[in-house]
Amino acid sequence: MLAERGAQNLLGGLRVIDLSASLAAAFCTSLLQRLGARVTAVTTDHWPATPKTPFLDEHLARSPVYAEYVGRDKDVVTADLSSEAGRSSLRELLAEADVLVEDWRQDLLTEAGLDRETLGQDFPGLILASVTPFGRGGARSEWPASDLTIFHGGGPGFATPGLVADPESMPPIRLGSHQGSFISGLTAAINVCAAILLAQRSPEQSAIGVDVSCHEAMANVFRQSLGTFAYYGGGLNRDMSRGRGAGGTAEHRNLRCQDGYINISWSGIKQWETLKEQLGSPEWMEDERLANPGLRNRNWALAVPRLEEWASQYDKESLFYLCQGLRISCAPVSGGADLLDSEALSSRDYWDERADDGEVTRLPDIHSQFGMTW
Amino acid sequence: MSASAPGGTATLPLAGVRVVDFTQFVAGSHTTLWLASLGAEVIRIESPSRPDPFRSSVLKVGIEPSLNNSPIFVVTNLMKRSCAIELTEPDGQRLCHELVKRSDVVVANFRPGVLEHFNMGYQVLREINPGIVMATITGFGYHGAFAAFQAMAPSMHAFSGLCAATGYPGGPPEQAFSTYADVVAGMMAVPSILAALRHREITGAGQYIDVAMSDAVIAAAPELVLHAALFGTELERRGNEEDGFAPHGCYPAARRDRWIAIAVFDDEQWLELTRVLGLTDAGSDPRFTSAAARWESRAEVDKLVGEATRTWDPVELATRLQEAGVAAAPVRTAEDLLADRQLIDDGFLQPVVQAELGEALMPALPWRIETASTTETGAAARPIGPAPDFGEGTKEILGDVLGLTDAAWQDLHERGIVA
Repeated sequence: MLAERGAQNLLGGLRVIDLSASLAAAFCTSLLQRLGARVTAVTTDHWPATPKTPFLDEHLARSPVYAEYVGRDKDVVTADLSSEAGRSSLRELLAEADVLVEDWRQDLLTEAGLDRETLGQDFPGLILASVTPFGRGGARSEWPASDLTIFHGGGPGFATPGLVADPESMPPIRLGSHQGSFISGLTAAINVCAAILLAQRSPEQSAIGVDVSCHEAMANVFRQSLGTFAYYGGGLNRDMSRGRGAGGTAEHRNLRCQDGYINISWSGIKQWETLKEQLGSPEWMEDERLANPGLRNRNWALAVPRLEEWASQYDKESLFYLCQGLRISCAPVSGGADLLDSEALSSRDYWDERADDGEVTRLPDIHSQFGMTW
Repeated sequence: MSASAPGGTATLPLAGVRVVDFTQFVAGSHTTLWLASLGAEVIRIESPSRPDPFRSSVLKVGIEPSLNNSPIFVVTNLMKRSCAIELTEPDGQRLCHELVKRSDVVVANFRPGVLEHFNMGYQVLREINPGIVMATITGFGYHGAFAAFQAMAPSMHAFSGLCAATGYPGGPPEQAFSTYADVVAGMMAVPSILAALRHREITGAGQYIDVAMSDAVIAAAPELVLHAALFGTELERRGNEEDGFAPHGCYPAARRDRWIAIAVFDDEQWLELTRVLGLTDAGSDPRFTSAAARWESRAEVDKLVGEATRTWDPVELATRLQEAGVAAAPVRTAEDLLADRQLIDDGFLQPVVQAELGEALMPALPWRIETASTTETGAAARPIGPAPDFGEGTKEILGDVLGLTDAAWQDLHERGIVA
């Protein structure tokens, strides 16, 4: 077992000024906070009016569902940037800071004297991190965006869900939970941590700037499809009847069981043979059209109803333990309450538990666990 | 690791950092891909008897696997070096220990217990190199009740709530594409490793980092669990909808299975959308004059917009809407992205030559860090290079890093310890 948990203050001593409004940038600074940085969120309610940023859905970061998650444990100060006093107090904060994270429209940054050129001259040791839909350069740098357009414009949308019964009437959809924003924020956190390390290792470097493009961030998570298409083509269909398409293979579909859905890897050679034994070698599993993994995915319609018929005898928890006992990768399709009760997560002390008026709320904690001994 | 990275315009954040990479498939390999892109020397330790199955994965029908012709392996392992060492052999393990002694980071994504079986667990490695930063990326974590359980990305999408949060309104839970959880977990390890290296620069202390795909995906896709934790309710699947706003979805474009994503958040954007689409009557229709009214009438709004977008090229329409201040994007395929002018001009897509596959555009990593010196010179920041052929660097790495002589190499090679 790990003898020590938590982020160990890995970024301890670092001060981050968070001037952001978008969910993407707020998640970035939240990750830095969880790694030990002291983050000060600066609210600028008096000026400028919204939208401050090219993210037209910047309200998401302040929504009831996300505000505490991305805002927890940050210091909050208000600066009235319409007044000289407010601008002066912000500059005092910047003078003491190591990193500034912003996601503003370029014209507003310039108007507020917060453009890269000005800040680079005035605070040469400050890392200036910008998180915008298309980056600060190029023809699209001023274009607006939202979580939806970032996600679909960056590639993953076409593969979500990868296979559908009728591509003409079933449009691509978003992955749940605003992945355009969260993946961009995670990408930005990597960028900022790399810049912090560069500053630490190369103190002669000055005016370090970070320029994150959410469009590139999404294209990166789609890179396996880009690589495959670049050399071999393909992967452009979403038609379930083919069994293989933009998002993967038919095997990846969730199977209906007694009380919900379960995901089972059933088409691989070992998994198929193990399941066959478990099911008592039924005749349908001997069908030549299901003789190898490729055929099983192409002819999924022969297998899936039979597998669901078998799965319907079990609840998802029983199936989970049954298949894991057979060394077959599987997991139940969890709901939110399932996760809050999950033994897998509580046994890892995953939750950040917050008490308020005697009620304890569980928030997801940092994604990594740390230790120097175990 | 050198005390400070070399100066000059070519300075990369991880210049001088050496990474020993015990990864396969995607999750851990994506972590080390980031580290390689940021300037680290990444040495993949590959088993001659059991090479990474990804080297033979997702090939075109009729193409025989050679270990060096899998595009999906290539795009996940650019800029790394390959060192083929047999980990099952004690002499192979000793070589790896010597490499770890001279390295800064170890990354692995074997299931718990495998590293220990090969004498490569953290407890052993930190005795060899107390300053080592080691990260493991596994399905349910290296410790915990489910540590020994099998995990692949689709099952992690299911477990972590991503499937339950994804789907058409009223429809079943849907899957993410097949490597999503791998990439997310692989990315999640990166800021932890970078922060641990910074911490080591200051304190000299190493670090062990345990990343579970389950934890990582929940942290990056928390809406479902936050709904349950904060409101005591289960999140409903809603496709492309965003509560309170319409139109907000993917609408059909002129060609088969081509779509455009459009998101409208205020009245001004709605008026601009109706103007561009030629729906001027709708702009003044009282059913649609406020965000609340459009949300109430979203079925009509979606029908109206969807009928109007059908004749448009998605790129042309998205451009027109963006210029009018409306968030819009063509739903891009892999083919579209590889032809995206901005991704090419910005150096995100760069040509790479693989010996057995030829030349193709490959994605770099999405980072851009400028300094006063790079701004002055305009130096390209993001490197890219081919993925290594199997074992192509073994002799050179063991010679350069460990000082292995030709005679010693010959002996190890003949005994099947290295390849």
